[in-house]
Amino acid sequence: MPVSRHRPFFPALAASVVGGRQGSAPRQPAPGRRALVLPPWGRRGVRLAALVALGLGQLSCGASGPARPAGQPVVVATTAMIGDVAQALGAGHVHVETLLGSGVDPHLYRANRDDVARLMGADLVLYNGVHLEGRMGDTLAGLADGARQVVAFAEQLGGPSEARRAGLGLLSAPGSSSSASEPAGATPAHAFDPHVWMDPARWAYAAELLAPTLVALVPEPEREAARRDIIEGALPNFQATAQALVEFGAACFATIPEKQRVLVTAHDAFHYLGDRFGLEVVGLQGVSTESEAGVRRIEELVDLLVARRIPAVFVESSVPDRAVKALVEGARARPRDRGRRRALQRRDGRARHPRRHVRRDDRAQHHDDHARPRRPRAGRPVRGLALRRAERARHGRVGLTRGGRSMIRQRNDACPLELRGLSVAYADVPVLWDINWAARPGRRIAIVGPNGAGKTTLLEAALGLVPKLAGEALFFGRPLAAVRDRVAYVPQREAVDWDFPVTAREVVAMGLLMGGPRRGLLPNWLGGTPRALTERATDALAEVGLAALADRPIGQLSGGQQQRVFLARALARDAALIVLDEPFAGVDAATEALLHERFARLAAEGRTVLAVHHDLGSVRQHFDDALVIHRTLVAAGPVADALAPEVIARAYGAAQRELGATAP
Amino acid sequence: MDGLLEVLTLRGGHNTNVVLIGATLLGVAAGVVGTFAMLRRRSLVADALSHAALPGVAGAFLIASAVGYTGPRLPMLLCGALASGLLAAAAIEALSRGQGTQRRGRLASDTATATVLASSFGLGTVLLGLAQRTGGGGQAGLAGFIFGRTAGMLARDAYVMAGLATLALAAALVLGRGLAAVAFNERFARTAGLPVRALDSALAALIAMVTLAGMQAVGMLLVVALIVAPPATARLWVTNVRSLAALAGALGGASGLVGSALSATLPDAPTGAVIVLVASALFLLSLALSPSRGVLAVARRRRALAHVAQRGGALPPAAQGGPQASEGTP
Repeated sequence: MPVSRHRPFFPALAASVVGGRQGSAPRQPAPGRRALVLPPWGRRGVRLAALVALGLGQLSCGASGPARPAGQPVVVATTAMIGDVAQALGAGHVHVETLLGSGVDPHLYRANRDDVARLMGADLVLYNGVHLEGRMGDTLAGLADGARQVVAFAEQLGGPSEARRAGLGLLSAPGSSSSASEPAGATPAHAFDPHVWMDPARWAYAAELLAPTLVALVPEPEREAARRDIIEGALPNFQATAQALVEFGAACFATIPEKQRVLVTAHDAFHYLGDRFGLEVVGLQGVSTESEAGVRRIEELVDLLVARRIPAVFVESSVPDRAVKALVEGARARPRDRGRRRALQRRDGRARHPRRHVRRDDRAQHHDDHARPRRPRAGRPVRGLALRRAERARHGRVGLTRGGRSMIRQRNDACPLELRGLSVAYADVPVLWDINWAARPGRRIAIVGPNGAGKTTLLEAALGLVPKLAGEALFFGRPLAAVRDRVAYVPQREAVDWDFPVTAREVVAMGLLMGGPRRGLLPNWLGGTPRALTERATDALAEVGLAALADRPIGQLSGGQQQRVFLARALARDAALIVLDEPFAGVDAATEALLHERFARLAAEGRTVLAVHHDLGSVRQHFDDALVIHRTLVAAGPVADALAPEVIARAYGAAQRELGATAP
Repeated sequence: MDGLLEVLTLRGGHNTNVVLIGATLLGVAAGVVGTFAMLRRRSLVADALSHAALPGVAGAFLIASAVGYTGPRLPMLLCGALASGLLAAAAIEALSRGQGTQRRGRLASDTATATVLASSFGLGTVLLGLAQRTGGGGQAGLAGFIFGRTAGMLARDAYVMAGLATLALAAALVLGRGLAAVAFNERFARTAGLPVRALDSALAALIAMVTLAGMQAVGMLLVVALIVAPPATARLWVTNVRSLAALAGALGGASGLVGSALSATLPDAPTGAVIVLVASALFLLSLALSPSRGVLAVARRRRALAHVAQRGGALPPAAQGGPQASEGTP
C-alpha cells in the first residue's frame, strides 16, 4: 500500500479545529493518510467507524520564532509542542526558540554545537523530560545554574501537585489507565510515558504551571505588563483552545461504538490520548521508537485486530511501517482467525464445520510453503548415464604419461621459461632488477641465492602472482595464459591453511580443475567432481607413495606428506614445466629422497623442473643447472660453472664464503 | 511447550509462519554462503558490509529527500546500503596486503577491515545525524533498517529469502569446487587458470545479498553472527567442504526455525536476537560435545593418553598417525 513519506511526527488533524471550525464530522482517513485499511470483517458487513488519530503537534508553526528583539529574555524549548506553548503564552515578552524542527524524532536527536550554544544563551530552557529527549536528557538537566532555569516541562505533572489530585498526573506504564489490552502479556518495564502533549487538558495544566515562570523572567519595569498579558490574556486563551480541542475530540470519538474504541499504533505513544478520550491504546512496540517487537507480539495484535474487528491501523512517521504492514498482512491472511473462532466457539458451543474445512485448506497451503526450502536440493545436477559413459570413452583411465614421451619432447622444443628484462618492486622497493635468462628444457634447475635475494619473487613474478615492474616472462615462447596446462606450480607449504577441510585426494583433484580431462564444454570447476579426475588424482598420489592416505584430511598429514601431496597435485596436471618454491623446506629425509628421485624421472621424461633450493651441496648433487641471483642475475648455467666458489662468494658475500656448501 | 509445538507445526498464525519460514530460509542461505566466506577468510567482509551499510542508508535517505524522491523507500535504501557496502569491501581489499605477499604500504587484513569498518560507521553516524535533522519523518526508520525488524517480516520478504536460499544452494553446488580450490590455495588456483577474480566476485555478491537480506531481518549487528556461527559450528563436526556447506545450511536453518519459534512463544523476546542466541548456543554445544574436536572429547582422550604414559605403556597405535606426527610444522 503506498504510503506518503513526508509526514510530521504527530498525526496531524486538529489544525482546523484550533482555527475554530468545530463540529466537522470525524473523517475516514484520507487516502494519503498513513493508515493501512483492513478488509471488512465477516459477512455481516462493517459496522465500524474509523478511528481518528488526534494530535496537538501542529498547533502552530514549528521551528524558530521571529528574530530576537533586543532585551527580551530567551526561552529555548526542545520540541515544537513545548515551544508552541511558550510562544502562545509569552509572545511579545519573551523570545522563544525551538531546537527540534517539526518531524524530528526526539528520541534519536543529538545536540550539536550550535544547539549547545543556543542552550547556553538561554535564560530558560524548557524540555519535555521523562526520557523523551533520550540522547540529550543529561545534557539538559546539567544546564541549570544561577543565571539559567531549566524546566522539565512534562515532569511538572508528575509530582504530588494539584495536577495529581486533579487526576492529571503522569501516566505510569502504558495501558495502566485504560483497560490493558487483552492479549498483551507483561507490562513494559519503563516507568513513565513522556507523550503528555497528547492530552490537551494535561498540556493546558502544564501551561498554567509555566506561566508564572515566564512572568518571572521578564525584567522589572515590564513585569507587571507581562503578568497581565500572560496570566490574564494568553493563558486563558490557550486553556480555552485546549478545552475546545478536548470537546471536539470527545465528540469525534463518541461516534465510534464504545467497544471499538481501540487505537492500534506502531509505538506506545498514545496513552494520554486514550486516557483523555476513553480509547484503548495498543502499541506494537514500547514507548521508545527504537525498541523491537517480537513475533509473538505481532500475533497477539493480529488476534486483537481480528477479534475486535479493527478496521484501520495507524502508522506513525517516526516508526518503521514494516511491523504495522506485517500486522495488516497477518490480519488479511487470516479472515477466520483463532480469535474469531474462539469467539464463535463461545457463542455456538463448537466451531462450525465449514470453518474446519477452511482451516484444513490453510494447513495444506502451509505445507506447501514448508516444502519450498527443500526444492533446490532436488535440483542437484544429475549427470546422465550416457554422458558419463561418453566421458569415460573419451578419457579412459587416464594415466600420468598419457601422450607419451615423444609428444612431450615435441612440445618442449620451445624454451620452457624465458625471462626478458624482468624487474620487480614491492611498492617503491626494488627486489629484482633486469633478469635475462632462458631455461634449458628437460633439466632440473635450481634457483639459489641468499635470503632476500628475490628467488620466490622471481617465480611469482614469472607466474603473474606479483606485478612486474618491467620485462616479461614467456613460457614455451608464449605468455602463461596461453599455456597454463603445460605449467604446474608448487607453492610454499606455509602459504596454505592446513586445517582446511579437504582430503589429500581432493587437494590433488584441485590441480585438475583447469586443463584436466574435461566433460563437455563446461570447465571442471563447475559442478561435481568427474570420476576421471578422482581416478587421476588417486594415481598421482600413488606416484608419491601416498595412496594409502588418500582419504586423510590434509591436516593430519606430516609436513613431508603434505609436500608430497603438493607434488602430486602438480604431477596430476601432466605439465611440461614444474615450478616449485622451496619444496625441501621442513621435509624429512625420506621425502627429500623421494622428491629428488621424482625430479630425476620427470627430467628423463623431457620435463623441466625449476625449484628454489637453499642447500648448495644438494643442488650440486641433484640438479643439472643453477640460476644464481641476488637482486640481479649473478650466474646461470650447469651447476659446475654456476656454483663455482667465486660465483658463490659474489652472490653470498665474503661472510658466507666459509660456510661453503651449506649456505642459508 | 504446547505453544512451541503449535508454532513449529505452522499453526501459529500467518505472521508467525512467515517469520518462521523466512528466518529458516535466511539461516540456510547464510549458513551455506558463510561456509565459503569462512573458508576464504572473508567472514569479516559481512561485518564490514553491514557496518558500511549505515552511511549508504543514511546517504540514500539524504539524497532522496534532497531531490524530493517519494517513491518506494526500501529499494532506495537497499541500493544505498549495497553501494556503500561494496565500496567498503573494495576498500578493504585494496588496503590489505594479500596472503603471503609483502606489499609495502599496505595493512594487515584485520587492520584494514577494522579501519574501513570503523570509518564507515563513523561516516554513517554523521550522515544519520544529518538525516535526523532534516525533518519530514521516518528517521527512526533508518535506525530500524539497521537494527532489523524480524517480527515485521512480510510474505514478500519470505519469498526473497526463498530466492536467496535457492541461489546460495545453487551456487554451492555449481561453484563449490572452484570456491573451495581458491580458498584453499589462491596462488595455485591462479597459476592453474581458475577464474579467481570471478569466483571471488561471486562470493562477495552472495555475501552482500545475504548480509543485506539478513540486515533487514535480524539487524546489522546480528547478521554477522548468522554468517559466522553456523559454519564454525559445522566445522566442529565434519571434514569436507560439501558436507560442511550442507551442515552449515542446516544449522543456520535450524537456528532460524527454533529461534523464531521460541520468540513466538516466549513473551517479549525480540526475534532476531533469539535467533542469534540459538545459533550461538548450537556453537557452544558443539564446541563442548563434538567427538573429534570437542573440548570434552579432547580432554578425555588426553587424560587417557596421560594415564598410559604414566604407567610406562607403549605409544597407542591410534596416536601414531596423528597430526604432524613425525616432523613438527616448520
